[in-house]
Parts: sequence; structure tokens; C-alpha cells
Amino acid sequence: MIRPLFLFFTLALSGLPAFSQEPAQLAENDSKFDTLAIQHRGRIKPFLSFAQEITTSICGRSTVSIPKMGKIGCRQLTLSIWLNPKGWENQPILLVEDPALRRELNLQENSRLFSPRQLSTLPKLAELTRQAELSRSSGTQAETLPLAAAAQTVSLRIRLFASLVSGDAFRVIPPPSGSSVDAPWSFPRVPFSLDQLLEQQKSGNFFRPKIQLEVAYLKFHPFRWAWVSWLVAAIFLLIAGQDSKHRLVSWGRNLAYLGLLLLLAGFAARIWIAGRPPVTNMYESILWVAFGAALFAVIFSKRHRCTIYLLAASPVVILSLVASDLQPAVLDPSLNPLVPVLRSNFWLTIHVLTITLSYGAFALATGLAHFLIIRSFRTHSLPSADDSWVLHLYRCLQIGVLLLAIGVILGGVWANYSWGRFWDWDPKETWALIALLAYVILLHGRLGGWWGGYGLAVGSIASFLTILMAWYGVNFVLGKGLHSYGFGNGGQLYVGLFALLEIAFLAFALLRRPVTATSSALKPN
Amino acid sequence: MRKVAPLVLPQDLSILFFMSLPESREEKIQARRIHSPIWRAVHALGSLHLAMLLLITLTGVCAVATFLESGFSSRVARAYVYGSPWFNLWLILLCLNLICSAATRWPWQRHHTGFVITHAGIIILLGGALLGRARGFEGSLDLSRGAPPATQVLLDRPRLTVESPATGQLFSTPFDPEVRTPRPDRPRLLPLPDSDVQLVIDGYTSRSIEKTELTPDPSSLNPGLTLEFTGPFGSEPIRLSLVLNSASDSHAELGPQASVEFVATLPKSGRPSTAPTFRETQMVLANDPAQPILHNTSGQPSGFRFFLGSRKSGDPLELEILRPDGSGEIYRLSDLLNRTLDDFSGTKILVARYWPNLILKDGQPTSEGDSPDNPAVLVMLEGSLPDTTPSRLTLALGPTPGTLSFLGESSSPKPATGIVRAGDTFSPGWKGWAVKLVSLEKNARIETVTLPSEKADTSPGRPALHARLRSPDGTSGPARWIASGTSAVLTSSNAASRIGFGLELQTLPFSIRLDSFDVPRDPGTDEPANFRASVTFADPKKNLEVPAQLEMNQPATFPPGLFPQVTGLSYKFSQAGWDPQNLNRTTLQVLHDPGWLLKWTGSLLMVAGIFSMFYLRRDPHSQPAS
Repeated sequence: MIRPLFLFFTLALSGLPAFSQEPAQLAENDSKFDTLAIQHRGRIKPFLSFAQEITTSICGRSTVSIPKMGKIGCRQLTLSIWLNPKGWENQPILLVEDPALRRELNLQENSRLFSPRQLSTLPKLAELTRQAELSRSSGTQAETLPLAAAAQTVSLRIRLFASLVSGDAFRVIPPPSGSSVDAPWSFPRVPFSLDQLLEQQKSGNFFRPKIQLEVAYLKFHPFRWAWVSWLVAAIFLLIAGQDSKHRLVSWGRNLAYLGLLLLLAGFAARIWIAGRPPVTNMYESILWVAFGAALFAVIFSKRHRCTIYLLAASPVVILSLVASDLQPAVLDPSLNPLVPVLRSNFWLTIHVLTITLSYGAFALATGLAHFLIIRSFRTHSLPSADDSWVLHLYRCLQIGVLLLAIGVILGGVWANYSWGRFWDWDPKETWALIALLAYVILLHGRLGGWWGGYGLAVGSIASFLTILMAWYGVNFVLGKGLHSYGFGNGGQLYVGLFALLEIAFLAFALLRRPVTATSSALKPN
Repeated sequence: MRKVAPLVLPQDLSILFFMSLPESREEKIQARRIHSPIWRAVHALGSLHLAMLLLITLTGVCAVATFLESGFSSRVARAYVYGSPWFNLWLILLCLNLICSAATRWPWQRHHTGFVITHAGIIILLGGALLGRARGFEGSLDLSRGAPPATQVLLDRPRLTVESPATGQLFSTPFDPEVRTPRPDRPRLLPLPDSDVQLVIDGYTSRSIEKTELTPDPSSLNPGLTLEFTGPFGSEPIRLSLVLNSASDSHAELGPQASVEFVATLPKSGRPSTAPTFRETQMVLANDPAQPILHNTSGQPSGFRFFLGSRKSGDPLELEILRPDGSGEIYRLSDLLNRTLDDFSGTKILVARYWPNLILKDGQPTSEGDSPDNPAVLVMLEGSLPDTTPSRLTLALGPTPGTLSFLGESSSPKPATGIVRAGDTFSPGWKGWAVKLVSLEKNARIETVTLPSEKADTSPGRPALHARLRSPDGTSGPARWIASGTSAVLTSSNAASRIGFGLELQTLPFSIRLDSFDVPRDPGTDEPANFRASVTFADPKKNLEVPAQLEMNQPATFPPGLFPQVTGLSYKFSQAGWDPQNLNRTTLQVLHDPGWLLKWTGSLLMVAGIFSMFYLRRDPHSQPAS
């Protein structure tokens, strides 16, 4: 009986090598590859960037633990599959994230990574993928079942892996000079010499320093250092406490400034590399919110000479930057070209940046509100009408309301410009309006004396939940409407947990409100 | 559970805003409030309590609506919330509240500037929105290259058109089946104009299909029949109805390879049929995979392809077999050499020779040494091509009434013939197929009916309503499905009416034609980078013809000129959809919004007002002192 070494899977897997029992071999973790330029997803990028994106797409993280090999970084993994593809199809490196899909496919419940070979021989996976593709290509508005969508993602990972094995993905040879900018690059035959490739790339139509800057950006992690410096700053400021003459205060302040500078540097690098403003996805908007909170904190703390702003901003900055640092599969840090609707649009950029800046201001207000409520617990008294912290909170809310109002209207400007209509009750629009109305209610209630400084703090936290819904919930929970290019999946658990904790905190703050009130309501004299 | 600061009663509220005012103005305001009922009403309508109530309910309702939209559809959210009369009422109340709260502060003072501007901005904005909703529209327009210029825009507003049974006059009403979807237990009833007959709509499907059915019809001279084909793949049977002497309904295709025909008399069969075979040799070179040397010893090309190679130098050679249908396998060459592989497609594959280092010596292939420098193999193939002879089933009325004779032809050399009656199942002589004669009518016609699609997949189909007419005595006429974009005549015992269902059409005062459309892609990918359409607007009344370019984010407007654009009297066309399969077609979104100018003015005023309230006002109570 003659046995085939490998049966072709219907899903374009023909690039996979013959199945073999040979163990996968690790290639040398050679950092000389980092600056090799490669054409990938519509952009010329350094190999390191490519390796990170590919590994994150396939494994869900930029490093992967493989039995008997230990932890392998993205560069080494990608190089290994490229240079010695044999045996990798047996290694558990493909992510199947959805537990429901794992159950459907009869995979082990408790692991998340599976071998390409195991996944590519599951007829059920192929069937689900076909369903997803059908419903997509039919062009109707019909929704794809979540299970089918998850299966399609897994199949895309298999294809991606196959393109690595076949070498197809490694488009490192530029077209002959004189061809158009968007001409496809080609891939070399293995084995090759790296020096030769680098030599060949000299004729390529791209800017080498940009590639080098991107590698530096990837290696330096400016956003990681930003949260570290904010963390240290917050610790210093906490230790210094109310004592404004404490030696650590200036240290803390300067570290916070450094953190802001790092954020700015990171943004500048991203903007230059991608050639577009940071407005495309959840990852960038989280960074931008952190930046907004840090920026307003620094401006206000400089102007009003107090460090509570910095302290209030630090949880916001640290939480959002840590989240974006640790969840690359949900919050995609890769620099992709924009979808057409977002392209070359001045209004869009202004609209998104204004809105996210307002989120930053509101996040800062929420941080301040927490400090205010906790202080009230500790002193067992309500803040007075002219309490400086209440004024700080009020300032943050003001700038937030102004920016959000401008942002919502700019959204209208842009929608009018791009889709032709000003307002259409799209869920994203509606939730931005809801958030704006929530803050307007908060300010009017305070104006009418319905609540004082303490109520303002409680309301700031409650209203921030509407921001959370407008920001994250519409894209990740409702998942409908025209802002679909921002839709994603994942993180629901963390955001839900955060919202629940805040609600619990609010309930506690309302039930255990200090009663020794020095009422802060504006009263007629 | 409002345990916050002590509540201020509404009548005291307005005092709040004037505490810094000079005594005289405050007194004046107080006095007019006490003495004039109009001013009392203005103060009540402009109270902060009402404002808060309106804002809080508005916020809550909008939040609920977004979940409605997520759970059902945007049309449901629109019908129940955003577009409903009471939502409009709420917005009008909010406008009134804003006007009145500004009025209560009359005469305004310098520090009211921001407040008044903001409120005026919101009022103007809402006014613009209401005007836009009443007089504007949003719709879509499909354009094809080479098609006549379009003048009608499809609005996302389903309508029902009914004909008066008495006068034949047409009446039209908005009817959205996605809102309060009609069901047998919850029908929607509409009285027909000028009559006592009711239209009963008791079903809705979002996806309907059209089917043909055989209907006995004494007025027809032609016999008809219905057949049910069961294929070898165990899928659901295929139903076909045919009538004799009909240009379109005497003949049917069952896929590209099989046809059925109803004729007056059976022809004589005599079609010789043999499946084409092939015998082929292929010389496959590892170093030149694209150019195998093919030699057909007999028959047609097999369509098989072979690739020889190894993953890495030094690895054993592998041979990849690729079938004509694209499937295939990889084998180790040593496993295949000199052995015949019985492929399941029925082809015999023999790797007859292997040359590690092929050279030609005296015109003969031979190997120079055993090192695999230029490996090549000789593959011999023998088999038959997939059968491509079309299968045919010809039917004619049988010798006695109620019988049918058939002639089935296929690749098998002997045709199938016989005589059957209604209810009989027979073999048409096609491999694996069985046919049942479901019915045979002496006089019949074929009718197209609309039915809900049973398949829950994404196959295309149009929404449809299930409707019937009901007489006052409670009897109903036959019910039927009416697909969107079509109409049908419904009858009851004493009336008949044509009922149409479809999206509302809005006629433009000009026409638009698509001249070209193209979709540039991202470098090295298939992702669209832009959508570019060239169109021509034509207004015959003004004798105007204007070409225009449309791109993503760059809409075109007509009529041209600054005045129509600024006032919002123009029509705006934006890129909305495309068909990856047909690049000669594009879908545009059309918008006409006379409230445009008001919206912009209002927005600008609102933002300026908020800014001046927060940052320009020198009032100790609205701006916390630092």
C-alpha cells in the first residue's frame, strides 16, 4: 500500500510540507535580520515588526512556550519556520481562543495552542470557515455566527502558518528599480545569504532610516517606559503625601513629565512610521486616552501648582498602558494602513483625537473623583463648596465636556463629509451623545444644588461608565453600526470586571456617605 | 435614593441664577412671575427640574434604543424611539425648555452670553434636525455602467400600495414589517379604501424565493406535469414542472450537464456514447517544473500535473500529484517508483523511470551518475476523462390517457425508455438518479409563486409578506406571499385588489449616469484603497449637464454652486457600496437635507457658547475660582 505523505486540505494549505516525524529545529536567534525590509500587509516594514505581527496573529502573543523548547521569541520562531520548516506543523503554536469553538472541535479544553497539523485535519473547522466565508461573500447584512467567525480566524492562522512554511510570506526582494511603488515584492529560495538579501534591498524603493527607527521603536518600548515612570512617580508622590516641600515631590513631578515625553516620543515615532495619525484602533485610542489624561494632569498641575492631578492621572495612565502592553492579541499594536473610509481625512483625525482627548479628561476626572471619595471616607466629612479638589474635578469635567461636545459635532462634520449625513443615531454617535448628556446632567444638577462636591465625584465615576460604553462597549459589546472598522473581540471580562468594581465602589460611596456634611451646594446668599 | 444636598423647590430655583443681580432686575423678574400667568408658565417650562427630567429620560431612552438596535435592527430602533412621535415631542419640549429658561433671565446681562449662545445653538440645531427629518431624505442608488441614467432613489422606508377595489385608484401607506412583525397570531389589518374588505397581513419572511408550480387550468390546451428528481448525493429532491408547447416552460436544465424536455412525440434514440479515454506519458523535471514533456499516445490530455522535488538539498525526492480538479497528494518518490498507483479517480499512474541526473545521449534520455543533480521521472497515465456527455430526459404523452412515455439518454450506451403513470418512480438511465412523476394534468399552466425560503443560510432572497383579503362576513380569499418589489392580485368573495409591497422611491429632479468606476488596491494586496466613480448629472429642464467625480470621503453634489451647497438645497452623492464581482456597478448614498445650514450654525454656536461659559465668564458661581 502506498501511503501519501500529506493530503491536501481544501483550505489552501498546499504550502505545508510533507508530514514528517522529525522534530522541529530552532534557527539561530539572529538579530541581524531585524532591519531586513519586508513587504507585508500593504507596507514595507522591518523583519522584527513582521515577526511580531505574525507571531501575535498566530499564537496570540509575541512569545510562545513550546514543550521541550521553552519560551521562544517572535524573531526566533519566525526565522525557524522560515529556514527549517520541517516539523513545525507538529508544534502547538496556533491559538484557538474561543472556548466554545474548542468544545465544538473536540479539542482539549484546557489548552489554547494546537498544532497546525491537528487543526488542519478537522473537517468541522473547514465547514465552519466555509460558512463564515459564504455569509461574508454573499454581501448581505446577515451576521456571521460567532462560532463561524472564530473558526474563520483560526483558519486564517492556519493559512498564515502555511504561508510561512512555503516561504510565500517572506517578500523581501524588492521589484527591479523603476517599477511602481505598489509592485509586489518576491520571496527568496531557501537557503539564501542574509548579506546578499540586504545588498539586493538597496535598490528597493523605501527609506532605510525609517525601517531602523521602527526597529528602535519596537525594541525600546516607549509606552512601557512611560507607565513605569508614571508608576514610580505615583509611588514618590504617595510617599510625599500632603507635604508639598517633600524632596520626593519634585522627583515624582519630573518622572511624570518624563512619562509624558516618552508618550509623545512614542506617538511621534508611530506617526512617522505609519504616515498617519494614531486614530485607527482600540490600541491607539487607549494610548491616546492615557496621553490625554497625562497631558491635562501635567498642564493643570503646572498651572495650579499642585500634584494631586498627577496622582489622579497615574492610575489611568498606568492601567491603560499596562493593558495595551499585555494584551497584544486584543489590542493590536501593529501599524496597518487605514481602511479607505478613514483615509486622508483631516476631519476624521480631528474628530477622533478630540473625542479621545475628552475621554482622557474624563478619565482624569474619574481618578480625581476616586481620590476625593476616599479622602471623604478617611476624614469622615463631605468636601466643602470651595474645596480645592472639587474645583480640580470641576475643571477636568469642563474641559472634558467642551472637548466631547466639539468631538461629537466634528463627528457630525465628518459623517456629513464622508457618509453624507450629519446625524443618524448610529450606536457610536448615540452613545457619545448619551455620555455628553450624562455629564451635562451632572453639571446642571450641581448648578441647581441637587448635589455638591461629593455628588459631583460620584457622578463623575458613574458618567465615566457611559464613556466606557461609548468607547469600548459599542465596538465590543453592541458590535453594530457604521464604526465597524473598530470592532473587535476580547477583553470583555476585564472591562466588565472594571465596570463592576466601579459600580460596587459607587454603591459603597453612596451607602456609606459621610454624614457630617458641610454642605457644598451652591446656596443663595 | 437622593440623599445629596437639600432640595431647592422649583419656585426658588430661578433666584439661584440672579443672586448677584442688582435688586431692581431681580425684583422685576419676581414681580412679573407673580402677576403674569404667561410668565408663570414660562418659568415652569423653563425650570431646571423639567430640564433634568427631559435630559435624564432622553439619556435613558437613547441607551435603551441602542440595545434595541443591537438586538433587532436599526429600523426597529428608529420606529420605536428615534422616529416615533413622542421622541419628537420630547425634543420639542426640550426646545421649549431651552427657550423658556433663556427667557426667564430676560433682560440678559453680560455674564449670560455663554448661556444664551449655548441654548440658542442647541435650539437651532434641533430645529435644523426637525426640518431635515421632515423635508429631507436619505436613500441609495444603484448605478451600472452603460445603463440609462437613473432618476429614482430607493429609500429605506418600506411601503404598501393598495388598489381600491371599487375605483381602481392607488393608495400608499408606510408599512414596516420589521416593526411589530406580522404573525398568524398577531396579524396586521388594513381596511381597503372605498370598500368593506380588509387586507389581512399575517406573516413575514426576511427571505423569500420564487418557485414555479403546476396549476390545473381548464382554459389551457396544454398538458403539464411535475417531476421530482432524486440525485445520487442524497440531497433534497429537485422539483420541476413542465407544460407542453410553451416557449419557456417545456424545457428545463438540471445543471450544466442534464436537461429535461416535454415534447409532443418522442424522438428516436440513437446517440452513441463513449467516455473519452487517455493514455499519456509525462516527463517531469525537478529543475523545470513548469514545463513537463507531455506525450499523448491516445485520446485527450489528462489534465494531471506532477511536480518533483525535495524540501532541502539532500532530502529524499518527493512527487506531488495534482489532479485536474485541484486536489492532490505528495508521495515519497521511492514509494512510487515502478509501482502502479490506482488513483480513486479511476486513473492508473505508473512512475516508470527515474533518472537522478538526466542528460540526453544520442537523443535518448539517460542518467549521468547517481547524484540527483537534474532529477527527472517518467510518469505513465491511463484512464478516462470525467464523463461530459450531457444527460437528457425526453418526455411525451403516453399511448393511453394518464400515461407518460420517457426516453432517458446518458453516457451509458443503452437509453432508458418506458411508460409511467402519476405516482410512479422510474430511472432516467442517469447514474444514481431516480425520477418520480408527481402529477400529470391534461390542461395546466405554470405559475410562479413566492414562498419563504426554508434554508436558514445566506442564500439571496427578498423579504415577503403573507396576505389575504377578508370580507365582512369573515370569509377570506386565498392567501399568498408578496415579495418586496412586486405586486399581486388578491381576491375575496366579492372584491379583488392589487397589493404591492416595496421600498419607497423618491424621484430626483434630475438624472445621474455612471461613466466609469474603478477600485485601486493597496500595494501588494487585494484590499481596496479607494473607490472612484465618474458620473454625469443632467437636468433637462435647465438644459444642464455636469460631469462629476466621486471618491471615498469625497462626495459629489448637484446642483453645483455655492448657494445650493451652503443652504443644504443640493443633493449629495457619496460612495456607499460596491460589488467585488462586478466592477461596472456601484451603489451611491443620496442625501438631501434642507436643515443643513441650521445644524451647522447651531453646532457652532453651541460649542462657542460652552467655551465662553467655561472660560470667558467672570462669574464666581459657574467657574470655580482657582
